[in-house]
Amino acid sequence: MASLAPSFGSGAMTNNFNDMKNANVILIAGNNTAECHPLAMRWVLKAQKNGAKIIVVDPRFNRTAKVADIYAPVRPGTDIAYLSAIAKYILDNKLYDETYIRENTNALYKVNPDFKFQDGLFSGFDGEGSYNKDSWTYQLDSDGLPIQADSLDDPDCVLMKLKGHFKDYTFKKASEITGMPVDKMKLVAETFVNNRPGTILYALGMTQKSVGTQGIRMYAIIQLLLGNMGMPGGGINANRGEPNVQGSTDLALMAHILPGYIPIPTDAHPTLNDYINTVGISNGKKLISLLKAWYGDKATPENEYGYHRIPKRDSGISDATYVPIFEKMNQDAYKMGFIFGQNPVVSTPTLDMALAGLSKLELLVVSEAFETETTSFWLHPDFNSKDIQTEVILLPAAVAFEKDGTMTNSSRWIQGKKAVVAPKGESMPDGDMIYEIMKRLKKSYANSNDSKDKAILELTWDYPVLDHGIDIESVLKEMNGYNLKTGKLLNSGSEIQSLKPGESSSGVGGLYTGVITEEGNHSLRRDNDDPSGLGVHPNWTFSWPDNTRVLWNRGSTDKNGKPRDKDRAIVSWNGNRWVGPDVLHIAAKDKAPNTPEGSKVFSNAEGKGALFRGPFTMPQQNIPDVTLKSGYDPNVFKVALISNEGGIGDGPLPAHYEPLESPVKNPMFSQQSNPTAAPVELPEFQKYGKAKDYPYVLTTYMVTEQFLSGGVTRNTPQLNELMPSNFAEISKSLAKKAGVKSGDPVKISTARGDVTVSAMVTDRMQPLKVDGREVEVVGVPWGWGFRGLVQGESVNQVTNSGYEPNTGTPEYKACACNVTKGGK
Amino acid sequence: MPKLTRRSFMKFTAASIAAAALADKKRVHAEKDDVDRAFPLMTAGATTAYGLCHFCSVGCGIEVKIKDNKVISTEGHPDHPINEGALCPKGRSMKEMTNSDERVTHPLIRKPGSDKWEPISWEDAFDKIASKVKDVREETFTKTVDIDGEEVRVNRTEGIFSLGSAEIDNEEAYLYTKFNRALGIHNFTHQAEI
Repeated sequence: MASLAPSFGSGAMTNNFNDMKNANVILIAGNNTAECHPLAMRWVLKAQKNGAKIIVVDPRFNRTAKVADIYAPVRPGTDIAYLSAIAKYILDNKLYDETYIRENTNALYKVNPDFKFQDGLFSGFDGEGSYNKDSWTYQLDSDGLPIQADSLDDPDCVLMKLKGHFKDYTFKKASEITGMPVDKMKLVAETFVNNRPGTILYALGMTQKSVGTQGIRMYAIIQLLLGNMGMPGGGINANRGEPNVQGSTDLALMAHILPGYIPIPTDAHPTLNDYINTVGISNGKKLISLLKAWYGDKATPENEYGYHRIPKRDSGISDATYVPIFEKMNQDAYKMGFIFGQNPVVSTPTLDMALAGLSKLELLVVSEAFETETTSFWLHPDFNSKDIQTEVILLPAAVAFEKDGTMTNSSRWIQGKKAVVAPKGESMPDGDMIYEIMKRLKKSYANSNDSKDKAILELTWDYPVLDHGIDIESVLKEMNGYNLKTGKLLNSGSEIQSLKPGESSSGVGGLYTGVITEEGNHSLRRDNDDPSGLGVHPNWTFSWPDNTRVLWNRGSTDKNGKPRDKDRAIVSWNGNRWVGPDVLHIAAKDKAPNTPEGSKVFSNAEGKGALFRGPFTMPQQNIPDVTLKSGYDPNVFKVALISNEGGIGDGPLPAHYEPLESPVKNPMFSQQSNPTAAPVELPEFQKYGKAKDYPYVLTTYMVTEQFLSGGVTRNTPQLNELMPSNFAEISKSLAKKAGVKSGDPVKISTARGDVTVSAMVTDRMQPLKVDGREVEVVGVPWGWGFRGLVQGESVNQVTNSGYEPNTGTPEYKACACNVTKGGK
Repeated sequence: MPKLTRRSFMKFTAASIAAAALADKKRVHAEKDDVDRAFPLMTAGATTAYGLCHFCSVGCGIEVKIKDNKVISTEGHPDHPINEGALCPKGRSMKEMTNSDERVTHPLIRKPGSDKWEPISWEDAFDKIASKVKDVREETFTKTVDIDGEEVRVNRTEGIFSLGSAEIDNEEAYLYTKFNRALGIHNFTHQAEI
């Protein structure tokens, strides 16, 4: 979500599944909804029944395309080119919502005159893979606030910078890049622009690319220009992949954040004062509330609330962590690893790198419900298990029906459930395993006086133990947070900001606050009533933040709080207060629409939707002259900046770069691919192929019946009967070239090796006309491996581990390959 | 440590589904040899409970039928606003997943160089893990680093990485983050990144 947060203020699916029925057009691009989110498709089809147009853009005529009104093919990894052509169409023809962009975006802000973009590089490039972002800024007044142009025609303003930036992306040029026919592209543009509100659905089809963040930035730019943000039936809907991936992201099982998207402290912030000065007041208060949840009474102003107990990240490294962990594993950086509920020996690109890495560990601890390729990597057919010295402990995990707890669905609904059967055999919920290991560590460190061990010894960990494990609701309460003066559960994350630092606790920095209050556990609410008919269902479980169902919904009204579309009145000002089926987002709920607090639409540093995304710091005005005492001084909140946005590492605007492995030279610039992509760390594994050896484009995906790495579904007979083996979808023309027919084995080779699967020759795959020649695309489902009731070669053996520099997501979706007849 | 032994679940199961009603003892009819025979429904006598699907992140509600502490049927929950009683093939297979004989039901250990799993008790597994964590943490801990001549406290455990998981519940994910960070683990991510 590295692009939605800088664009708007926080990154998550903006609307919800039921809300999609309110759309007049739905662009599904980078997501095969019918296949991968089948019950979301229910709401796409309801929209279509109501008259909405469904557009599918995909390299393959997939199951979703089958029911679409418009299908447009696209070469994997080139989405930014056709989306830029749509942006140009909107800008050149002034089809944007002028009132919306004037009031709610940074369209009028004047850009630093030093900002430039030439031949694929933005100003500030260091020649080695990173940018100095100093020129990607606004012109500021003496208070440090952005200077606004008088007119949208001002050549310095953001809107004109956009117009200039996208000017070369004609439909014809974009067609040469993407292979999408010009007529189709025009039809997509006209249909999406002329039917509002429109929503966009995407998933890993957009993000598993070396330009993933900027691809989603295109969605943000288009939706802001069209005034679609905050509207029922509008927004940007990331359809996420795992049952609790929204929750696990919110809860920061990631290197660069703490729960609630609190930035991780780094070695550039030696003290809590430094941290607050850098991340701003709001994040500073969130971190203190988290530290109060984790260290209780031991978190005091004197010890900087236990700030030094949390490891500080190296400020010199990017957020990318997944591939780097496997790189470092191969460089002998680790003796031990934990892998809970994940199967990297199927899901990691360039799989040999993962296999070799795990073999270097002394101990691997895995929690799983089934044996997987990861738990049993030492049984890999290429290995002799005698040579593998890694000790492996496999902890049997209880499954969803066997444990109490909540999961957050893609649309931010925190849904609760109770255990309905006992864990099978001796299996145990993951939470109980973690609890038990920490209990033992606390005991083994009990006599330590070393300051580093306070992080463990003073950690709050006294969860009541019931007859079936720890009391999960007590954990949810800690996450929700307390008013420490009254001892009562907090009702809203805003209380963390209004109370003094140290007077509240919340393990998630307020993000989930309201899910469980003195009133009860809202995650268990199951009243499905929808009085407005807009698919809000306000009393069904609880939606973060504050039970808001449509993010940025203040923008669904005009500046006076009147709904912009009377049929989509989700919030409105009735003259005295905000009313409507949804909870007002961002703007203050007790303030009139014409006040500064009541008019705020977005929560990024400017409070404006970012069409152009550079770094910006919102300063505090009238700063008193105080000297802070070292470490932590509460006066830091009087002098620190209000909020800070660092910008995106690879540019303030998207640009078309070719995938890291591409069949063509970049038709736009001499800069071939993303200039900030990370260099190769392990040349023995991370090899790149050339177009002359690997002329085709390999893309990967999933099928309904085999889920992700297959660790569960390939052990489920009823699903295996439906989808018993893997295949490669290839066009008739490629089948002819390779001399194969459906069912024949085909060898798919890349610079990393080869795999053999059965050919499925199909009209769903068509060669694309790119830069004057035909480019073939090959599609292979990825969730196969050497364990389970049904097995098959993993295509990730040959995919590319080069990754998106902002997020770390590898470019699975666009690799260079060759296809030949396989021998067996 | 009674909670780690095989526990008595009957009471717990009964309590957690106390609100669930007994399914109607309906019958199905089938015609064979001109005789209308009646058979009891598979779900006759089962209790009904509420569950959530554990595949994609749409978050469908599931009506779970339970008999003798075993899931006997999983259907779309009619009250859930998103799936309104429907389910995809994966959601329907939640029963099979829960009951599967392929599941790991005992902690296992694979010793260095071995070609097989061996059972290990929970107690021994936890002790072994905790002891190794402590050893590696002691051995690879970085307390401070030098940044432009200033000694900055960083508290990093370098020798342990941690992956996972988008498949566990929120409360578990929260505990996992808290656990990892308290140990000083900073090489930490999960499948959301990829």
